[in-house]
Amino acid sequence: MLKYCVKRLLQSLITVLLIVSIVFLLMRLLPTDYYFREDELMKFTDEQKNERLEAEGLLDPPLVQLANFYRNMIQFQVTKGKSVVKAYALDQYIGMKLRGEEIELAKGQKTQWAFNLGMSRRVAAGQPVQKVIAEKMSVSMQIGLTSLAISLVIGVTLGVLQARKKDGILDRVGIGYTVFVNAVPHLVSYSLLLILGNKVLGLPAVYKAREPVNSLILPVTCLALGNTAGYMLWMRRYMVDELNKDYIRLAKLKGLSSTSVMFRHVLRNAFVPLAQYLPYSIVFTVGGSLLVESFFSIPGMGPMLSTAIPRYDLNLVQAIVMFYAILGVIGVFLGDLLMCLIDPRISLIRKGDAR
Amino acid sequence: MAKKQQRRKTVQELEQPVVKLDVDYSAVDKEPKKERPYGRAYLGARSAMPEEQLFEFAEYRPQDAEKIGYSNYSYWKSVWQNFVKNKPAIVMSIVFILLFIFTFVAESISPYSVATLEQDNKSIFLLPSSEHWFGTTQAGKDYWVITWYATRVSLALAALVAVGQIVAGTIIGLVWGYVRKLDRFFTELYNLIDNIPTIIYMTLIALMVGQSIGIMAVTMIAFGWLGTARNVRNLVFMYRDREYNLASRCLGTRLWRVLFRNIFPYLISVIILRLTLAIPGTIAYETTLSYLGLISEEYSLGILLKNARDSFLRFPHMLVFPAVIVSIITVTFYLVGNAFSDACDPRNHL
Amino acid sequence: MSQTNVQTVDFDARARQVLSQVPLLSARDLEVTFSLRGQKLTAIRGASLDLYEGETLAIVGESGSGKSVFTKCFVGMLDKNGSITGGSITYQGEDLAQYTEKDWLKIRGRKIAMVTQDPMTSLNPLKPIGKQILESVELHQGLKGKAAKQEVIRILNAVGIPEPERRYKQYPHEFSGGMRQRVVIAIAVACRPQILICDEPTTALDVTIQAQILDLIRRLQREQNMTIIYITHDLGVVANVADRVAVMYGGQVIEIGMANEVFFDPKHPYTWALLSALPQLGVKGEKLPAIDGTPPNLFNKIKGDAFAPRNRYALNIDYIEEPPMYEVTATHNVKAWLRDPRAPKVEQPKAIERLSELVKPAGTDPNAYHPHLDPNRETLVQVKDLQVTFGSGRKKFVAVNDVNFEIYKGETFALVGESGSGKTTIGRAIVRINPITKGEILFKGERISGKISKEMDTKVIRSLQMIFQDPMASLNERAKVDYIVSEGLINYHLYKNEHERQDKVQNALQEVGLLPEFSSRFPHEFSGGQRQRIGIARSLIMQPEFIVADEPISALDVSIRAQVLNLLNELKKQRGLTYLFIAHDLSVVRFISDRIAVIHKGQIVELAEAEELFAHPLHPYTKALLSAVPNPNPYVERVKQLIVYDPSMHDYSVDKPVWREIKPDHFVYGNQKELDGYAAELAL
Repeated sequence: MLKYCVKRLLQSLITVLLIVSIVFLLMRLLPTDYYFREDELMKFTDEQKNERLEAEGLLDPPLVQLANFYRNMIQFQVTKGKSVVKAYALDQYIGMKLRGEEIELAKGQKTQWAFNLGMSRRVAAGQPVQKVIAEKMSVSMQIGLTSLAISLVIGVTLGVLQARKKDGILDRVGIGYTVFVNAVPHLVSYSLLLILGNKVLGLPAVYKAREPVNSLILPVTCLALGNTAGYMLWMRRYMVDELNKDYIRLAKLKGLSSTSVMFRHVLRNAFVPLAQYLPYSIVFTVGGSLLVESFFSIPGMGPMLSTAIPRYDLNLVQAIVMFYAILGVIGVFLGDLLMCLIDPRISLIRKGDAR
Repeated sequence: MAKKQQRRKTVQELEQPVVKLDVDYSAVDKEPKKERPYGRAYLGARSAMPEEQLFEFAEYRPQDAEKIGYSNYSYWKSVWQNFVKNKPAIVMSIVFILLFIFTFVAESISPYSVATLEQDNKSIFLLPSSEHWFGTTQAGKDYWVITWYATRVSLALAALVAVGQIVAGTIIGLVWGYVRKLDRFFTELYNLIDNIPTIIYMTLIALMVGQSIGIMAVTMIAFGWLGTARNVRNLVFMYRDREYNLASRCLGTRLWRVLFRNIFPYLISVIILRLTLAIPGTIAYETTLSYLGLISEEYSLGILLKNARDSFLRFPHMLVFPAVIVSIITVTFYLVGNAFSDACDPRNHL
Repeated sequence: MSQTNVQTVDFDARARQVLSQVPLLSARDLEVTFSLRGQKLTAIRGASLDLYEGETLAIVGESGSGKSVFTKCFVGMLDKNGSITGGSITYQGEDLAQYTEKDWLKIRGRKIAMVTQDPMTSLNPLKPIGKQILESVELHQGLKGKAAKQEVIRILNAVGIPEPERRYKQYPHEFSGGMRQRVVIAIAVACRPQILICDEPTTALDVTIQAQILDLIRRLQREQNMTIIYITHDLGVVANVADRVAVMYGGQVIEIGMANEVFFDPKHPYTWALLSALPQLGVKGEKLPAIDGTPPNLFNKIKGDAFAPRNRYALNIDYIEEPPMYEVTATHNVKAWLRDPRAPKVEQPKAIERLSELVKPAGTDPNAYHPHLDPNRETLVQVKDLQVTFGSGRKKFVAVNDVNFEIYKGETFALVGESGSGKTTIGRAIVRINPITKGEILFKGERISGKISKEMDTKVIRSLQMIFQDPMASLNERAKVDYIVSEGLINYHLYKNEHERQDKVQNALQEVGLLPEFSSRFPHEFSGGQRQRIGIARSLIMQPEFIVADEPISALDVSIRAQVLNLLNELKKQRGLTYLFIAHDLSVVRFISDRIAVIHKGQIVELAEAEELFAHPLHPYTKALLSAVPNPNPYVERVKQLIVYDPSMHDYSVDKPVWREIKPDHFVYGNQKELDGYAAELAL
């Protein structure tokens, strides 16, 4: 089990590194103008620009830059107040320690280990990007987890009820709902909900920092709308699949009533394939929903990329991509792990005694 | 039930005795024998044949025996029959076809045309009227011609992307599934791309390469083949080692022929399903991308919906027209796709 | 009745017992209709049946005869699109045909339980098997907690599952097919039912496992005093279990009687045909009396007797009116016009009389030519030290190991083994579908395994062909018969023009007994037997010298098997073909083959001439296999002694086993000590 986990994690790490590297290298193809703030671009002469670039190592060959990027991911920093005075890459620090050199600290200076992905240049100028991301995460998570919980409970329940009375009234209504939500573009259904919520219930149409709870009702509902339809659809389908299997026939032949068969056999088995994607969904609540958060102007993770990109905040873009890659990889990994735990047929260690 | 009673009656009328032959009752305890002679036969409407002839041997024809098990089942015929039975899908298809034809007519029956629209500050956000059938935009342009033009743009994009994705997906899937050595490579590639939401890639490409609708179409194809390819690959896996393919190998059939004659026909239903679902998928995706500002196009349904965001609370017509059209298109294809996939399932045939 | 052998079972006593009782359950004129996409299919067309307490009633029939649907009505488990549209099922004074789903909860499991066909899919994969049995125990025996668990463990023991405490917690995938079927039986038995319906419980299992399961069912019946309905298509199994036999055809019970009556004194032409088509009753070298055609399509309205078009004894009236049920004896009823006093008298076919002599070999044509006895015998195919492995690294699996044999021109060489024994792998290795790991395969002295030249490859393809097991999977459903049959011709362009190609296709179809007009149709329009013949035509068109027939009849109905066997024999005679006949059923193999090789876990353990193998089996596995083969004579089958083979009996740690010709043309695998023992056995 442990061996499998380590192997999978290593694989995941490679995936993340590969994606980040590709993105990093691709970004180096962009004009160097994007390394400056808008106001700096106006101010600086070409020489000044070159000087700056040279100093930050941005004129090095892309591969060298990539190596530096990874080297500096973990830094030992000397700080004074809030600003960083000097930073040592991990290998530099270890080298110094090995040589027995000490880092001299001036008065009022402190040292700390820090995770460094560079500074945001435009969106939140001068701030470390991880800090920019961290601030946004909590809002996204709130919305995400709430809507996930709602949609899971409602979606699974409705899906089960639909499958129980297949072709009944509830089933037909449910199918209509899932078709509507899945087929109609979200932008349209969100707009409809917005009109409804705003005109009828008087909920705010965009996020207002002063009324955070009211502001979040519509976004959460919008997000839950789509997810509920998804859970309903799949739960129903898996239930129907399971109900047609031979073992259900045998369970009925035992004399179990159809309700018992439902609860003791079908429900769990039908939930297993859904469960695989659950960790992914949970992990991704952190990432926020691009569309919903943009639509309601919520200061979450979602719109970050679409604000960072038009403004060419490269470090931020890089960090966001890395962040999503890690989320994705972890989500999939946890999903697989969960499957191993709940489905006895998947065994990580080969059991030899199957006869 | 009525039929059955009638049948009983005939039996009694005819008073045909239950036929018994060499019955040996010696070993039989006769007591509980009330129900015994069962399956009373009836000699109902009798043919014109005289009785002596009835009990002569009939001519035995092996060819007739060969024919009795014959069934006239045809796969595609059953698919079609099942599909036609799906009323919502058929109704929506008709509505869509009318709408599709109308997109070409709409502009010509209006006094305006997209090419000659100009900003007009006097007629901003006019409500629908006999002058402007769908009202006007924030720039005072006629919304009718814009909407229909945008519909054409979106449909063209959707068709292009859907076909591109399916063709790429099918070819890659066939190779992935049939060439064992490439399985690992494609699986890793798949995981690499699939681990991260596609929107991230789309954003990156928009950033690095550009936001024109053409580039976005290519990008959507480049990242959209995955689902189809995996689906096709799994099916190829399923059929690859079926006995009929082994038989083809025994007969020395070439690879391309096996792929084309033996495997491809089994994929057609999946490919059509994927194609019909890729169209609403692309249209919905286009609206999202447009909203996020990743597509820079003057008019498309996504752009119209995006532009409507700031005004539709006051001017609902900005939302309603593109929203209704986009919904008709996506719902139609979604329903048709699902109806087709149900119709293709042999379990629903019989 | 003319049986000469000892009557090991007193069927007359059982008959008296039956006649003294009121039926426990009785179905009358049952009619079941399925609606399938607008069409109506009448699966059961007025079937009647009585079931008596304590008996085992076997229902035999081909697929589509309605045997399974019929019994599903007894537990209220018809598929959703089916319903009982007429007749009644009386049980305990109530009509089960009128029951609602709620009513069924009183009966299902509690009174009438059922063992289903496929053990691989019948158990919930996500629940420990103990829990699944526990449900039955709690529900029907009212036990709870520890007591219930104790009972489950007792039942696991009773159905022959070793280490029940450990096994209790295991999941279905940790069990083999045979063990899973024991679990399924345990679940049914734990309900303590009065009636147990077994729906082909051994069809998916190997013969040796089948014999064990049959034993188990019989033992449980005695212990729990159950009444059993046993559904099967295998007459050997019927002989093993049945007190009474009901034969079904076209949705009706056409003959019912005590087992001895139905086997030794059948009256219905269909039963005659079914019995005489048994390869066990055939004379080697002669044609089997096959039944032409296929079972009826129940979508069509059937007029008169459903069997009439295939019946050689059909009367005119058979085409006009359905026959009534005639009473032969108090326990024996037949639904055939031939029993009418006005009908001509017909003697039952000779083959059926041979049934009573089945202890001895079925007989061979003394003048038959046996290629391997020919002093000038020519080796056509030679397999040398063959090894085939699948997978690699830790997952490596040796499917076939160290296999040696020669096949002589003109003979039928049989390879017999259970599922997973590697027999198919060998066949596929010969036709180059499976690559081999070690050893070599020679065809007419030339190597055809591994890398070979293009000309050689063409030669192999043209001279070596294969017939596949599953007629449903071996034809491309999306291609017309014309393309399927001529695929080989097209690949090598073996025709001058289109006209010649079509001619060749039609000739090939005619040769396998199909109508030439079939060429423009699609495979799904044909029945299993017809499809199998299309597959044979596809191989024949290449004019091969050697054909690997991979279980060509095991997926076919009993009545169809004889057609295909006859065809294969006929082709062999006409074209001088040589066959490698792969099978799991020794009784078929004895009829068709000259020599038999027995394979176990990838290793051939014994090889001998067919009759020699049956007369003097040496290897314990061969003995076990022979002992398990069902024999269609109930008197013999009921008393057969099962020999169970345990591979751990061999001690090959020091004394290594070898492949040795212990007597001319009789090879056996064993170490020196075992070989000495075998030699001594032969000398006796």
